Amino acid sequence: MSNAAPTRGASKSDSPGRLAWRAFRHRRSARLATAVLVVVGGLALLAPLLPLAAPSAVHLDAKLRGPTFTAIEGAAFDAAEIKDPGRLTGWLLSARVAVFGSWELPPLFGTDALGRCLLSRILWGARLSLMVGLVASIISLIIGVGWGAVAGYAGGRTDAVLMRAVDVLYALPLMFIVIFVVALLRGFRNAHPELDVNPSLVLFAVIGATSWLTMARIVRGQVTSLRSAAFIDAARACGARPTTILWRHVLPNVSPVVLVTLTLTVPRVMLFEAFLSFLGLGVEAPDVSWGVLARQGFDALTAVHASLWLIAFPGLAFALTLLAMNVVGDALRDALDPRLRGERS
Amino acid sequence: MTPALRGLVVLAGFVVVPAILFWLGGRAERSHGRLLSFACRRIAWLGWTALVVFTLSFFLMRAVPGGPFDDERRMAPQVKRNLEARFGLDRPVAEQYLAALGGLPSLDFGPCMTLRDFTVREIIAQGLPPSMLLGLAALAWMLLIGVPVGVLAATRRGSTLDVTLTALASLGMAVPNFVLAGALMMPLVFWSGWLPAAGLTTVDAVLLPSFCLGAPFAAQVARLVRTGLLEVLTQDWVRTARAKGLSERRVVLGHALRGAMLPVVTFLGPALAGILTGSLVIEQVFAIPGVGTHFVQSALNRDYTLSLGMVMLYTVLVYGLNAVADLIHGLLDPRVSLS
Repeated sequence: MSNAAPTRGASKSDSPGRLAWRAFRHRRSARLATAVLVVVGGLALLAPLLPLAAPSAVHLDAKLRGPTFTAIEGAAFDAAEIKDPGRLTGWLLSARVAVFGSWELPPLFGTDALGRCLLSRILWGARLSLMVGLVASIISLIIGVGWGAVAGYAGGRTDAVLMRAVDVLYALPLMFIVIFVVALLRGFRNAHPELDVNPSLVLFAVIGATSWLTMARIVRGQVTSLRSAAFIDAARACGARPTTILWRHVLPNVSPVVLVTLTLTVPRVMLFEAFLSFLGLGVEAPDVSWGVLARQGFDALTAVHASLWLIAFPGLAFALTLLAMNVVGDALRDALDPRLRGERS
Repeated sequence: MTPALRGLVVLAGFVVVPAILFWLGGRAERSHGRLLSFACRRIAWLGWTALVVFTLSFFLMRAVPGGPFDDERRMAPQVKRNLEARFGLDRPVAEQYLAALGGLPSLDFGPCMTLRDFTVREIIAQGLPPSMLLGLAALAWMLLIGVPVGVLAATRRGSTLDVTLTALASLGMAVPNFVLAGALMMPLVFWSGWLPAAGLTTVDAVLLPSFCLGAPFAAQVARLVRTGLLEVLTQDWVRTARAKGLSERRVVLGHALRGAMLPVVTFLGPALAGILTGSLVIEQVFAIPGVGTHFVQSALNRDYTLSLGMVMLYTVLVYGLNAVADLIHGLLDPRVSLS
């Protein structure tokens, strides 16, 4: 909140943003967690550039190998294994082929039931899992902030109607409706293969469209209390239009809270993706996500033959990333707005 | 009375009865206090919500291609037609809708389309007890672990114990419950044989599934109790309690904890919804014959009647549990307005 900046030790150059940044940087756990996220994000982004096996390359003679430094005999990277990469991915892949040729890392994390390299699948899966988290959160951000800001700024009857709608949606089993919709859409796609809808896109949209409620409530609360602030009155007196006031004056003041809520939405969404993937309703083959990998690792657990690495590595990747996100979110919240502490849902 | 006519009556009832209740609730506010008025309004909203969810799910299902009998290969067209006639699928959609709606007040969703010889009501009646047992046990784990851990961490603020517990709680929120289940299953079930791997036949079979289901929520409760308690402990009335010579134990457990529990009560609604969602996964992991498995399967199989019944069941459950959580919150904290 820019109008409630702490004054202790503040000099002229101490903007609220800088103070918050300093408080954030001061925490060792926050620095560490940020570093983890940067590394995970970087690895995910640059996965095509690394000398990894193709995530879908099957080696039936190397099934369920434990983590090892010895390469699979006769394994060679073939860029054609990766089905329709985007432009950036294609470019990275050709760079990888130019540098490393067809050489690939041995399965450092072991191989799965079809002899596919787990390390490669985890790094390629990170791309999709992080993407789900980001895209769905951004969708929820747009809807939630729009909804909450309009309700809070308009007030009166509009506010009552909009927030009542949020209350009703809150009380619905949204997760169940998502599962229901995803299951039904799957049937729709099977019946119309010619439409070529990307299943992941549907997943992003459906999850995003159902996770904006908390954001709307929080933004609405903030905007309601800002609405009567003197500087808003001043802007109104100058003849600024409501859209200008919202965009230029209200939203920048809400942004810290929005940022915090967003950081805490991403891990929630990623967990939900893992749920859906476990139920077989998430990302579809040949795409991989961490949820899919954890599911396959779980399936590999039997009393007779336990391929522990298949659940341990995806589980660790998942836990580490989500933990880092939660730590960063908490640190941001404490840095930006101490009053928000303890509020989460 | 034809089924369609009955459906029309029910449709009208679902619109009018909640409206009357709503109006009564408004009047009761003045004469009978806020509790009755709260109940009236919530039930009214439940009626409307149920109608909307029912209608949306019904038409959504019919709008998506593929029916309950499409998967069975090489079914003679005559057989398929007979099957569809048996379930009334050859009628116009509007008529089917009204017929289905007509059964709603008596909780009669009709026969299952894919699990033959069972009605939807029978499936729910069989699946609900194990699911409820699982959910309640998870709730118990959530409070029995979450609250003491939170209190312990807050009272030893900054100590190694606090740091460890807080880190564990953050970790608990970051692990999907089926990964936790896999990690715990190996030592507790497969290697030592202490606990049974699946089913819900004995008492100890409930322990592991409900723990895996409740642990992430216990982690959140622990964090809420910790932050809540730390905040409450700085308040003046806590200082008063200390000043009059109460032991630290009585100050924390007898006075401060009550104030610190309010965020937990607020969290109860989302937590219950989350436990219900998580149970879909946990029931599959531990092969528990609950309603969760049917929910996913029926939607995948396009079992119109069963999936409609499941959606309605979970709508009422989530709605009802949220209402109860709000009620408890309102009773504990008079500053909260019940609406």
